[in-house]
Amino acid sequence: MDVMEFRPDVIVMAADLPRVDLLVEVRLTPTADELTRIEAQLKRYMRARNCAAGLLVTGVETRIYEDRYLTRSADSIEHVGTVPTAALVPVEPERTSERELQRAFHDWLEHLATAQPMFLPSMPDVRRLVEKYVQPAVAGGRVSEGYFG
Amino acid sequence: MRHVLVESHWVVDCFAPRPFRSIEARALLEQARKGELVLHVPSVCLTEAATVIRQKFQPRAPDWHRFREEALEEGLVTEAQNEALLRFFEVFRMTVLWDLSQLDEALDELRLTPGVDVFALNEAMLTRATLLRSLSLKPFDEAILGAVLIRAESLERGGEDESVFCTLDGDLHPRPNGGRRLSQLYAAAGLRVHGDFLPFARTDEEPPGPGTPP
Repeated sequence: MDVMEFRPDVIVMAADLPRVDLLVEVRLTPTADELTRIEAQLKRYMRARNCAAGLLVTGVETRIYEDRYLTRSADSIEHVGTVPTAALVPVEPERTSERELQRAFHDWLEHLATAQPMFLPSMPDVRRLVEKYVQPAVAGGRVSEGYFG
Repeated sequence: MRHVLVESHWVVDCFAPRPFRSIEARALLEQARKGELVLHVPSVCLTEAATVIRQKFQPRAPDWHRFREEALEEGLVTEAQNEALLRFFEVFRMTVLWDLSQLDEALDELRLTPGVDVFALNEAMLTRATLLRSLSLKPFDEAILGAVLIRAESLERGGEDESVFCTLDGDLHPRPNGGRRLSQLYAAAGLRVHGDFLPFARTDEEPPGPGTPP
């Protein structure tokens, strides 16, 4: 799939700039092959949009990606952490639909954009990763669903 | 004694992560610590400022990185300079993240700092705010103005005659056009208004750097 055909499910843009700060792709129950393919697409798309942070969300885990800016390709984007998705949003993989998971992430990121500490995860390890990689990208930003053209 | 009343802009400028701090705002805090003045801070300003700081002062630098990469490619910077820039951005990022993680503690400490009076809005202040509707201010600004006026009047009744309101909020500035009512309110409360944080700055003294710990 061409990078520009990739459709992230949630996008966070800077409040007052045409800058993409976070891209989120949600797949409820991907196979291992799908996960590898989606990860590569997400990284290429992040590079193409000069977006420094990305999330790949499944019903079980959420992978966090960050552009380290060490090369001028998608190789510069590293998988910097993984947290349980249930530590971020209410999810039951067997009952929650992919659409519901997308919506839950959209809502959580909207809360996170307010920069109120109460919306940070309570688990210390998860909170530390969110504070380091996700909160800086989201705080004060505009959260929207679907493809940004 | 000199009294300086401030609002959320001072808190933001004083407690933003180090790369974004205002030298003048920090200097004012230092003057309070030394007993040269008393700083009056409405407590609601701490809450508002914390939100602003967390929203506006994150370590985002994708545009700088993109330019750094292009500059390296075009030979405008050397490999060694590029390495130094990468190190610089990492230091910047870790510094900002650390300061943000310490924000709540720093604001809690402010409440206990000698020379600083963080005060809650009382009924008289909120009542005064309701009487300021004709000024067409934002609701939060009405509350701050009500608090500042009541506090200044209280100081004046106590015999204090040198009170200054330092505000960077343009809506709270007495302006030549349309600000006459505000000017009258400030004058009645015995309050001078400054558009900076240098109400009593001495020209022969260098203010402390922005990295001075709170």
